[in-house]
Amino acid sequence: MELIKRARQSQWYGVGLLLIVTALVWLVFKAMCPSTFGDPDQLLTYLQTGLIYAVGGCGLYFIVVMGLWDFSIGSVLVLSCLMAIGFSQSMGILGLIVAPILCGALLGAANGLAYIKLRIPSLIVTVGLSLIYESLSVFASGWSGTRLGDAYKMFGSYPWNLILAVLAFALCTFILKYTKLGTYVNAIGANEATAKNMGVNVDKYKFLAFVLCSTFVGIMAILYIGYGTAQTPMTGMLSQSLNFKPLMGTFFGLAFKKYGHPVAAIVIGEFIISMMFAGFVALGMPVTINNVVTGATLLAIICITTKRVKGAVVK
Amino acid sequence: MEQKLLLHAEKIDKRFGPTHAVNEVSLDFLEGEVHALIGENGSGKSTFTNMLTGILPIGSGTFTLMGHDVAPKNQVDANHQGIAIVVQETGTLGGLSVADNMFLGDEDQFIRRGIKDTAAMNRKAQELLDAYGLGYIKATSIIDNYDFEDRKLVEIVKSTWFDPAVLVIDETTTALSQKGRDKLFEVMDHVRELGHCVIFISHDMGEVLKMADRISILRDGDFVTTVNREDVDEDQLKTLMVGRQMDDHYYRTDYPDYAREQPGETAVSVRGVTVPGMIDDISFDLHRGEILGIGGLSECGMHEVGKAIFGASYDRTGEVVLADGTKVKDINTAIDHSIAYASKDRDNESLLINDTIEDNIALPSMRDMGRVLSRQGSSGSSRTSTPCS
Repeated sequence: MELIKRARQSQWYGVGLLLIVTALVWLVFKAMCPSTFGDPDQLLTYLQTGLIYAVGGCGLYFIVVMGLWDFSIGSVLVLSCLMAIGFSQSMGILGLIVAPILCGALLGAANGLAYIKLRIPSLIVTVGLSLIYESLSVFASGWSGTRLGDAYKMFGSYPWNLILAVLAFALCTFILKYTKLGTYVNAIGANEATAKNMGVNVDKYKFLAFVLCSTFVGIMAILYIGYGTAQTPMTGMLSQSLNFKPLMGTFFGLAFKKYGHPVAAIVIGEFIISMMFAGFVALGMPVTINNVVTGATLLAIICITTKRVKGAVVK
Repeated sequence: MEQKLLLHAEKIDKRFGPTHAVNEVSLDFLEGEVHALIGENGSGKSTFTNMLTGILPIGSGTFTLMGHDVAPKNQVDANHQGIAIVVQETGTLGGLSVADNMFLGDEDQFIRRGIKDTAAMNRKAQELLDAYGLGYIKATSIIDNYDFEDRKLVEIVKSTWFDPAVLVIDETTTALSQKGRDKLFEVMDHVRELGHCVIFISHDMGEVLKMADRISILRDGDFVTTVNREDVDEDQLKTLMVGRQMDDHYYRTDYPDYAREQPGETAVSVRGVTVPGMIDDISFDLHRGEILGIGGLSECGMHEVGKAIFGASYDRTGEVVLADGTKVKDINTAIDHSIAYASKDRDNESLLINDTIEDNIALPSMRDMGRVLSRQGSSGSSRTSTPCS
């Protein structure tokens, strides 16, 4: 018993658990469709899409761990992609990398500022601002066009996508582990009043978290546009559909936060989701069923890994 | 040898809306003393010390520590000025490591060129835990891995490792077992030996008389007096706290069936009530005309007993039977039989903070009011029957 207790307290317990789930998911789908699922090449493809959303999930983690929401990341992603397309034409590779990151950081600053100054829930602030960002994306597409030049698609495939994603994961881990911001976002999420009593400038760190979130979405945009090579503007809240996949990775990170490696959990979680999508496609299921099963699986994983107290108020 | 003045509070005052929580209290705290601050709930003890430690802003007045005015902006600022507090409630934050909790808000000592030296922080935290005899607590572990008492001990280390000039212990002992209390008393003795001061808030008069050198009493926000430990006994302290003579007659005498001498009929019979992880096999009878007190350490499960009787606990087993044979299994049955429950956690479990007083009072009775409510109706028809009759 003591051994199990100690194992559960180990920092690597959560990662181990996720790897076991990964292996199980692979085994189940491999058993059902041995010829169309799960070969090494295919696994690399699943990882490729997983990496993209994991980068966004890392950004969103800074917000969600504080108990806030950012529902503008889809629109930030679209606008950042269009900035990458436009600036790559005029500034080459530098524009491809710097423009979306800068665009994300600026939009994140706008989110943070609006949230801090307006003092209304983050969900409402970010949904409202996403409508504005969506409109901006229409103007931006008129200037930038919607297709990425062939010379700038390197981040859509190995090894550059992996290099960029790993750098992003390393940055996220570094911030969470080796900066005050990393400690403070956790502290604010645990108990904002106590964090304030400990001298934490809550508004400042919430603002910084919004900036970081959208900056990571900017990095995600480089991978996303490299992989998809085209991006049309989205209006009428259509960009909200892009929020979901990074958010799923973030949930994995939150669920496994107690084991001390949220970034690893986000990456593995996104890989699992990506693998499941591919598995259902291999089984010939329509995308709608994919979404139902994937959503249900996500809820199941969070229920298993989260200590739920009967009667506790859950919002 | 005469002790020197360490901390002086001059006309400290605080209001919360119409409530005058602390009324121009002036107090002296001396070097090398444990100075108890006692009073009933709402007497202003915690408000006073919360202002000293930066948890609340000072309304008016000044604190002077070793000749310098202090007005901390928050707890960490207070620490930097030589003042620390251990509060009654959980002061550690889940999701953070033990070391992160110990140095929260004070990480700058480990920042090198903008980067937090996590390894150095963990090392120092472990050294401190070892020095306090708490080596079994690992600095790198997530604090959630430890129970309430261990988390409280981590807080004690966090608040005292830098030898504060003034240490406030705010009803902390109620949350600790004897082992934790002994550790806390050891720390208090150490602070006194260093020539510093402990401000000790406790409702346990025995504990106060054991540990304190001097005792100051507050009542309804007013300063009453300061006495030397050897000049008073428990009864005198209680009299000073409540402002009237206390006697040993704790049973109400205004009921016809005076419970102690002639117990009335059984109003509620509790048999083998268990709530997993909270309370185990609780049985007792409550008679008409009787007030039954249940005491214990803050996490002992006593708060769950009331909840369980009211039918508000999940997974409860055992029986709660009323005089007429009704078994209370849920909240609705309890309310139907005039059982009222006022939770310790008033803000979350007993009051609708954002609703009107009228709705708060009327809510349990609304189902008696018909389908269409009128404001007039709710004002006039709230449940009025005698509880548990």
